Amino acid sequence: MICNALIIISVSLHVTSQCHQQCYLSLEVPSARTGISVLILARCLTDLYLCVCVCVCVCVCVCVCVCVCGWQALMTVNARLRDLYPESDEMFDIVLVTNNHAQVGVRLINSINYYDLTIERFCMTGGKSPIGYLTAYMTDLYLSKDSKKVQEAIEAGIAAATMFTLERENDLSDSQLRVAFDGDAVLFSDESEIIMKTQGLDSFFEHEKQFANKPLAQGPLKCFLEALGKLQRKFYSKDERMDCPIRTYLVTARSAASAGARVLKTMRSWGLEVDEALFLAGAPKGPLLQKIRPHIFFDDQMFHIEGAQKLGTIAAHVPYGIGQKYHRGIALQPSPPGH
Amino acid sequence: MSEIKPAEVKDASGEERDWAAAKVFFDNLKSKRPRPPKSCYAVTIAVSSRTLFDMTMERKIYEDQGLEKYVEYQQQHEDEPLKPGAAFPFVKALMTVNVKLRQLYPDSEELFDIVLMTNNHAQVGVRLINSINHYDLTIERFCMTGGKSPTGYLKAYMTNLYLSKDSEKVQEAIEEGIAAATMFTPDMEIQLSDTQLRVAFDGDAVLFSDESEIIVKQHGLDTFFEHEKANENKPLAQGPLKCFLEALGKLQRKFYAKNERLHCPIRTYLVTARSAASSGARVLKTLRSWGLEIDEAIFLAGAPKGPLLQKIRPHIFFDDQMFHIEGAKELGTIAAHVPYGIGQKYHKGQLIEKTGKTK
Repeated sequence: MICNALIIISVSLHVTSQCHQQCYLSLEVPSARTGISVLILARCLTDLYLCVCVCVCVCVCVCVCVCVCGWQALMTVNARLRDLYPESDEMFDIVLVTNNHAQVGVRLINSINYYDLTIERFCMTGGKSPIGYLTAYMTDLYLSKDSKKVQEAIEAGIAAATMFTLERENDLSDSQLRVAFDGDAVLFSDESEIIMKTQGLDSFFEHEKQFANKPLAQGPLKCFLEALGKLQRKFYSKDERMDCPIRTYLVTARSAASAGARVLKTMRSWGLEVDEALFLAGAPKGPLLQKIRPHIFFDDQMFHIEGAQKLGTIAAHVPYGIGQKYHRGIALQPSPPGH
Repeated sequence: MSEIKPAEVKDASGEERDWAAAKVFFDNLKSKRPRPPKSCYAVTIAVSSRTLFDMTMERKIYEDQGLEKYVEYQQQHEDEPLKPGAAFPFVKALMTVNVKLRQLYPDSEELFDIVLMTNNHAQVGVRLINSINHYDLTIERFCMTGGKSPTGYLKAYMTNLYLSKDSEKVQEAIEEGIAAATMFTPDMEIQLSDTQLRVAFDGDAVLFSDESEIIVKQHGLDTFFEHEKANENKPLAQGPLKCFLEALGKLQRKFYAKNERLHCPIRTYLVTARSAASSGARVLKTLRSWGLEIDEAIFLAGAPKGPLLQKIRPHIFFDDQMFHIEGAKELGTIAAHVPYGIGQKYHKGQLIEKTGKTK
C-alpha cells in the first residue's frame, strides 16, 4: 500500500446560522504499515438530522474552516521526504475517523476537496466507537475533540490527545513542522508527579537526585516522539540537520538543576532526541510557546493548556496520570495510569 | 450524544474546579530549597553557557571536529564540572544579594532570577546541570535551543539583562530593546568582593543614548562642550542599559527601606570619560530626572579607565567602546561590550570599515 502525503488537520468550526447542535464526524482510514497515521475526529456542526442512537443532530448550515497551517507543514515534510527518498513509504499518513453516519461522508468529501486536502482514507463507523480500529491501523497519534475517546485510546496504548479550538491563532510556519511536548505524564510516566502531589516538592527533588541515573517509565506520547525522531533521522542522514522540516520541543515545568538531569538521561537511554529543551521551573508556559509557535503542544494539565491557548498556541490535552484526578487542592489517591 | 450532554455540563464545572485547584496547588508549591521567583516581579538575567563557564576547549572541539564529536566529548566528561567563566563571579554575587533579600523580605518575589539561555544541544545539558550543582548555583530555568538563536525567548522570560559571548546575538537583543552585552574574560584575575555586588556603567551609549557621542565624533570636542552647556537642563535620551540600572535601583531601595543603606549589597558606579565641569551637569540632571541614583560617579575627562576600575573591582563593567573594554581587561576587570551607537564604527578615534563579526 502506498501511503499518500497526508497531514494533520485541526478542524475549527464556525457557525453560520442560528440553530446548532453537535454531531461527531470522524473519518478513519487504514494506515500503511510504514506510515504515521494521524486520526482526526472532527466535531462539526452539520445540517444533517441523524437518527442514530448515539448521535443526534439537527440541520444547521456549517462552514468547516480548516486550519491549513499544520497541513502545509506536513505537506512540506512529505514533499521533502519524497525528494530525498523517492521509493520510501515512510512519511505522514492522515486518516479521518468518524463515528458519523455514512451519508455525512459526501459533505465531508466535498469539504475536503474544497480545501484541497489529500485525505484519501476515511472510516465512518456509523455510531460505533472507532477505538477498535485504531490499533488495527497501527495509529501513531489520535486527535479528537471527545476526551472519552481519547482516554480509551490512551488506555489501549495509543498516543492520543484532546484538541481545543482557539479564539485566536498565531502565525505558524508552513515550512517546518513544530511539535512541543510537556515532560511528566506526556513523554514520561506520572511517577514523579505522584511524588510531588502526595509528598511535596522537597521529596520530589530528593527522589529525582537519588534516581538521576534510573530512566523514568515512558508516557503516552513517547512513541509519537519516537516516530518523529525516525523521520528526522532520515533528514539528518542526508545532511539536512540544519534545515530539518521537523522540530521537537520539550517544555517542562521542571527545575533544571534540581530535577533536570534525570529527564535528559532518560531521553538518552531511549535513544531519543528533542531539538530544544526548556526547563521553566514553574514559570508560565504561555509566553514561551507563543515564541516557539508549535503546530501542536501536548500537556496533561488543563491550566497549562489554558495558559497556552490564551496566547494563541494550539494545545492538546493528554488525559493521563494523577494530574487528572485532583480535588480542591487535596491530592487524591494515586490512580492507575490512564484513568 | 445530546442525551448525555446535561450530565457532561454538570461534570464540566466540577472538573473545572479541579483544574483550578490543581493550578493553585502548583503555584503555591513550597520547598526548603528557594523557588525561582515569578518572571514579572523578578530581575531576570539571562546568561549563555559560555559566559557562565569556561568552555574554550570544548568550543575548539566543536569548531575543529564538528557537532557530533563535541556532544560526544561533553557526554564523556559529564561528571567533570566546567571551570568558571567571565560571568561566574557576577552570578555568584547575584546569589548573595538574593540570600540577603530573602532574609529581609521572606515572601517577596522581587529577586534576581537567573536563566541559562544557550543554543547548546540538549544532551550537553547534563554536564551543565552537574556543573551548576557542583558550584551550588541555583539556576533552575534553562532554555536549550539546539542551534536556534535564543533571543526570541528573552522577551518571553521578561529578561532585564542578557549576557553572551556572541556579539551577533547581543546585537539582536539590543535591537529588540533588551539590555545586553558581550562578555570578555579578563587577562588576569583579581580578587572580587563576595559580599557586595558591584556594577560599573559607562555613560554615553550605555546608560544614555549616543546623541552626544555623535557630536563629539563628528563635530569635535568644543562643539560638544557648547552643546552640553546649552542643553544642560534637557535630559538625555535613554540608552540600552538604563532599564537594568533601574532594576538594580529598585532592589537597592528595598535595602534602604530596611535601614541597610550603608551595608547595601548592591553598589553602582558611573565611570565616564566626560569632563565634569564642561559636560558633567547634564548627566547628573538626567539621572535625577529619571529618578535614578548611582552610588559613585567618576568623571575621567579622558583619563584611562583601567586603573580606576582596578580599584573599584566591579563584578561587571559595561562600555560601548572596544578600546575601553580592552583597557579594562588588561588590568583584570570583567568587561562587557554594549554594541550600540556610533562608537561601533570608530576605533581609537579613527573611523573603521564595519567588519563582519565572526562567532
